Amino acid sequence: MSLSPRTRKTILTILAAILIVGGLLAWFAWYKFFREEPEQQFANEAERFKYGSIGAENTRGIPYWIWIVLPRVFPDLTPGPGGYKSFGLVWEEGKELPVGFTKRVIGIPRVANNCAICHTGTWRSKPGETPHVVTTAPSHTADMQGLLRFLINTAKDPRFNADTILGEIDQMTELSFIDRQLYRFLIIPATKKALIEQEGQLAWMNRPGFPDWGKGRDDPMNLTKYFMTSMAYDNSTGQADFPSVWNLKVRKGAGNIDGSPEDEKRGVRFLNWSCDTPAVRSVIMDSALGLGAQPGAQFLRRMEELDKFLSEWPAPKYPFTIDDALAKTGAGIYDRHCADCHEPGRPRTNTPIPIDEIKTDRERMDTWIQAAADEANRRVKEMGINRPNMVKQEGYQSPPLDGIWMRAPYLHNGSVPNLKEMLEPEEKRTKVFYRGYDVYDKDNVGFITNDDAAKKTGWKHDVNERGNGNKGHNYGTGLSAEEKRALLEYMKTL
Amino acid sequence: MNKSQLMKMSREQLDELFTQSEAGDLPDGEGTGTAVVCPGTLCAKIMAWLVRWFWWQGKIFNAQEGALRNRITPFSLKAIKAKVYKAPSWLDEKEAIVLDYSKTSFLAGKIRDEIREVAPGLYLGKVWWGRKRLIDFIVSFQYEPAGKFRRRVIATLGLLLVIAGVWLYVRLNTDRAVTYNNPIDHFKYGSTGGERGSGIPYSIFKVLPRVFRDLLPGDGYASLGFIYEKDANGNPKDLPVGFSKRNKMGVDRVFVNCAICHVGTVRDTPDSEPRIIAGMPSNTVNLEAFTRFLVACVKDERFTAQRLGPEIEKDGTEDWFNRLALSLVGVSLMRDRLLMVGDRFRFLNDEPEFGPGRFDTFNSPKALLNFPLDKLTPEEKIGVCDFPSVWRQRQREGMWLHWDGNNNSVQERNRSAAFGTGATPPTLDRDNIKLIEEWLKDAASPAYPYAIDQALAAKGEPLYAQYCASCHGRNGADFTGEYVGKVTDIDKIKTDRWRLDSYSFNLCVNQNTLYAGYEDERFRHFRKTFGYSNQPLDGVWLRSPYLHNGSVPTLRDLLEPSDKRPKEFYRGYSVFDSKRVGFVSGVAEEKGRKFFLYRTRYAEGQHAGECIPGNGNCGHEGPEYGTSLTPEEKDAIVEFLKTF
Repeated sequence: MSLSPRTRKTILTILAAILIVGGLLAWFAWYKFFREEPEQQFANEAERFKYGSIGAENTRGIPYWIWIVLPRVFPDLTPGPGGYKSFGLVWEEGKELPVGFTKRVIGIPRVANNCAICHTGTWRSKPGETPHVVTTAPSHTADMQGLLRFLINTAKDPRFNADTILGEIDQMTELSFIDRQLYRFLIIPATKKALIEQEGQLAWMNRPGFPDWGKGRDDPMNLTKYFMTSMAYDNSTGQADFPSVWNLKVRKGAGNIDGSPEDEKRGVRFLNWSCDTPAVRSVIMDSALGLGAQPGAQFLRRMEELDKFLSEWPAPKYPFTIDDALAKTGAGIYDRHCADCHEPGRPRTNTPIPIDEIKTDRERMDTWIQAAADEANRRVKEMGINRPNMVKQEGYQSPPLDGIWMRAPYLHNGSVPNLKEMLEPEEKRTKVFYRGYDVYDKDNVGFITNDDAAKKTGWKHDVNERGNGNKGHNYGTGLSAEEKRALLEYMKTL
Repeated sequence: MNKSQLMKMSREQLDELFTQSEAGDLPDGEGTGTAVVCPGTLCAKIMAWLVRWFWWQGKIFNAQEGALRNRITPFSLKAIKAKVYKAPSWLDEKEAIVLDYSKTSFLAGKIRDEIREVAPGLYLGKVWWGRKRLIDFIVSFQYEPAGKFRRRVIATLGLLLVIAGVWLYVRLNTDRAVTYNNPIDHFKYGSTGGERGSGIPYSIFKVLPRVFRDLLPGDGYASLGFIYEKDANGNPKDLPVGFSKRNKMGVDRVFVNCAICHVGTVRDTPDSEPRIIAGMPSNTVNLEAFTRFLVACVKDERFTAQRLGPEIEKDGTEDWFNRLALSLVGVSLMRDRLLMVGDRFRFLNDEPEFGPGRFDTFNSPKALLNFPLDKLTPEEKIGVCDFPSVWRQRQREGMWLHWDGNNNSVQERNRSAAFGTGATPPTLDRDNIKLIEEWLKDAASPAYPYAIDQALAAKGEPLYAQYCASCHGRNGADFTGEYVGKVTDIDKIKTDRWRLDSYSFNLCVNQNTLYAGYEDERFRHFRKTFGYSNQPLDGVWLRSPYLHNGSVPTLRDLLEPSDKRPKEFYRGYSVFDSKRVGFVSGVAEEKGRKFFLYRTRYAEGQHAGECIPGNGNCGHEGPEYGTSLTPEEKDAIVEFLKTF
């Protein structure tokens, strides 16, 4: 059948028009939603660690202006005055975003997170002082669960609507007419929907009877299990401290990893509290994926850079005076009582100490299972990422003690407030204390956990709650008071 | 053959039809016209419709006279004549009817149309411009011409709509601030942009003191301590100092500017005319009372369009349109806005009464950021402090500014202060702020106008150098000194710590998000300090009462240890005390106007004798601070300070 020239012309005209209009629309959509602007330049790698993108903005990024106004629209859902700061986040003077928050333009400016949100901490020598920021230290003041719940709660609130949110944005900036319509009809509803979807993904952590994470902790292996592998909920709870991530070179082992029980003998060394991962690279990658980073060449390059940076970035020096003579005495005690498991290079360091031997709270260890390890390994492989596989172990990690003064509270679940109490027999350790206050306790080596200010800002840790137990690690508890004092002094030097 | 068939043909087909047709008779009477642009496509229909509605509807022929006129414009007016005769076509040299405009129309003079009757009563036309072919057209006598009446009604309505739209657009798109050439007038009355978002309709502002007379301590805004300058005829000006006016969306709006807190008055005697001095603290202005007055007004049942409307009409300040707009939306918008302000400023309720010359600077940004104020710790709740003087900003660049020294950028401090004038990042009038900033760089305090005992002052100079200069600068113009513009720890200065504690680290970092999106303007200089900043003393004689919270009435009192300083005194009275240097602080009332009793300590109750939070007059004392000098030495220092 042949078309008349006129019909053909009409069809061609219509096709051309569709192509032009479609092309313009596609370009517009690309420009407003997908166009990636290069990230800001950072003065050094530490700044980049704190504020640089790991590529999570595309999947988890919250549109910048919505992110900015949420605490202002929903002050009643925040824990106190201070916007995002009130969740205990680290926020430096002069900086636009708290540490661990990244801003990138992908069509519109978006805010996402990087490793530093859990791995940069602060200390103060007294309340009247600006916090000292320690890059790669545990974020012991940050209430990540509170922050997640806040974001979800805003989305569930009827006030999360275009009128209210745009009204608050109008106080801060002038959106163009087009951007306004995009916010009104697309961006605000889509953000609301995405946040509400997160509630479903995080429902497991809100089940009654499961303790809150509290400040400075999350439930890392359940996050991996339910997020990365979408496995069915089980009855486990594994709230654990954010670890320090400095000086990772002392955590690296030798030998080829194949996931067999022979790994350890070949010199493989493990990370995560129950030694669930046999390589620094795997931990960095899995954590970044958990934050929403997108696999790809850029991802692999960034992971490589982070590995390099974190391997070399030094542990912080103890900032107060140390009694050198006493520390010297303590060095010998450390050598006899601690070094076998905690000195880098020793056979037991960075390996799983069997649970029957260490006897610390076992809940965290039990959250991770072989099936989850297999599934996680399969998924990561599917993403085209090649990394040493996760494993399942029956014990807790014996990490090096570099910068241990800044890693309080202690044990994997942060159940012992300070180093002094670590040397006390378990029945003498404090049962209820408050964590997340950053004024330093020089006498006991740790943060102050029980004065009025600590009670006000801190999160109440009750060792009788599930997963919070402070038993186990009964090493050095039989030393004399003198010896303990010396050992404590020595540990300040690590 | 009919019109719609012609409309489907391509240009070649139309040309062929034209060539094959005879010229036909000269048409007579009115024919409906249709332009044929880009024939044979969808575009043709659209163009025909557009031309029909907006330009050309048809031709009226007079066969006898051999002439025609067109119907043009949306109103179907008869215009543009042409001669009609038969002549060879330029297209094929055969006979056609020519519509010749060259003799009859100046504008269309170059146009020549040729038509042939392609079907009975249906003429196809070709338009020439000079010798160039333009479009085709059709003149049809086949059906009744379109109803001119209906077309005219629709066109008239359309035109009215367009005119109304343009009028509304022009009217509602105004954004004109009243401007002043003189920088001092600009400082006193110029706009920071605050009226754009926060402005109060001028007409309502004018009637409030009349309608709500009972909510004010006296007549008019002057009863709140606002300063009215006199115009050339000696009458009070329309607006007090510190209020600016801008026409936004067709409505004159007023709001406050920098001068609301930084222009003060001083009188030589109770009967003297006040000297009005730009840049000095607004010693008489009660900003808290003004805020409370506005909020009380909008909460009052009298705050309705019905009640305010007739008052506004009486003033003749608005035309019918604005009165309608105010009664329909303006009054309720203003109520909503001020209720919001009242709610966010509820921190005022936890503080001691400010009285004139003071406000709480840093609980205000907490309100702006909508912190949950009910969860503020008690230490944070009281941030009352004096308005400072604002002279010589060029010399202050890089010093730690604000009472607690929390920022070292003059520009950023200015933008932060502009929030207090209602100007937000999108509404800030950057040009105007720039003018004010420029003027403030070098504006200086006036010289001390009363007698100075030069001999005594000369004795005071070395004492000042010994005790004061390292923190406060060499003199009123030279701010050199090791600690000038730096923060002295609270444990050392020991002045009332409430203002310091009201500024929290949490607020400090949140301020970093202000002006985000305006790249270079984003706040990045705020820091949390743990003391009070040492300030230069230019024009110190005009900066009474003293200390950051204005708790010490005179300079001479400040040189006494705190237990010898007045426990209570009156603020807001502007007569000068040249003996003790400061404002006379013992006058409770003058001509019916009551002054504010400032209590530094509790007089009774379980805390009797203790400092009232925020109002304490302790600190800045001890041998280092000169409070142990002899009375003669103290007098000499005070005399020397008069030269600043």
